[in-house]
Amino acid sequence: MFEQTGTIDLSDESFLYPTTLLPLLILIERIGAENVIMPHNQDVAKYIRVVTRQDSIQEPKTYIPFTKLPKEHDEMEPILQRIRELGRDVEIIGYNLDAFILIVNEMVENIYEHSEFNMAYMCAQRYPTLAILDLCFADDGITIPGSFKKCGFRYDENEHYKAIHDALMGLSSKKESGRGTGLRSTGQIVQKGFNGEMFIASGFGAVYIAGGTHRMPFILSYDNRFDGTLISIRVPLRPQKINIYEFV
Amino acid sequence: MRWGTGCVMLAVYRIRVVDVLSPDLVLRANARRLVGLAESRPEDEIVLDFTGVETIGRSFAHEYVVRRDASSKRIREENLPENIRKMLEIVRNPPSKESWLPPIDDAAVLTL
Repeated sequence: MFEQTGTIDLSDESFLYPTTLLPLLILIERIGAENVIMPHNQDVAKYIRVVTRQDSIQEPKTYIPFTKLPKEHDEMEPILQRIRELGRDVEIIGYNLDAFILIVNEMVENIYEHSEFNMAYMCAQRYPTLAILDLCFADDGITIPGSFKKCGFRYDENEHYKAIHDALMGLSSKKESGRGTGLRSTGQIVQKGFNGEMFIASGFGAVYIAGGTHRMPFILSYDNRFDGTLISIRVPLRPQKINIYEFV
Repeated sequence: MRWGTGCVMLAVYRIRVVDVLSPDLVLRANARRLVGLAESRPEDEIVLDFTGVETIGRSFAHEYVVRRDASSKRIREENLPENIRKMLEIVRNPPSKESWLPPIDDAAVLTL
């Protein structure tokens, strides 16, 4: 519908997870809020308004709001501080602060090092009744296959899922040894450490991993492509300490 | 330098890492900044004091070790918390990249 009208109609939406919300908010920022029909559901409409205002954290904190990554690398401190604050209220983060700082570090590092983004965002949301925590990153950059292409690894559009899979396995666009570990170690921490789920969409491909060894690749059609990279992580809210050094 | 007539002490400069960065060591750019700060000092030996550092990203650790080892200064660490020491050790001697996901079966690829 958006392609035809230039309007995003959210009127029937009754629930939005970060995986949907983050790309949506990127699009809203690009086209302007005046072109969005907000949800009839007042709770959802309020949620969208709240998470897009970074100065409106309510107690208890259950989320890191829709946070735009600064263009400069060294302005990460407010984001890290927010994770620490969230760790005081969300047990799984409190127990595993090192794991969450590492995941955020690696994901943000990848965005800075590889994506050539104009806009990049992250957010987190805890769902106490569902006992899950969602952590989501999105950028509008050159995509994972696009980054590989720049150093000679070529993937056709219908092979973009292979590029994502290869990145998860440790392939790097940097020649230097010791690189290619960010997505790989994050995937292992999420899937094996937390027994969680991870969904990566980039260009015309996507990969979903979950539950120990489950992995599902997708070819995305033109309408479903992602012009950039979206990484969505979901971990169960179990207060267990994981050993990140098994996975890095 | 001649023994008995006095000796020239090599100058050592200390940097408290948490003061110039943060308790969370993240991003390669910050590792470059830290080593760059050490290299900008006139002293021959720089001690990085990690007191108060709580977490470290793998990418930060990797960049730090690469830059430190290539530096013309003698840079050494003191008061390394156990988790930071572990991460630096891992990036110095990285484990082999074992295959942790099965190969893709092209027939199992779904189109959306």
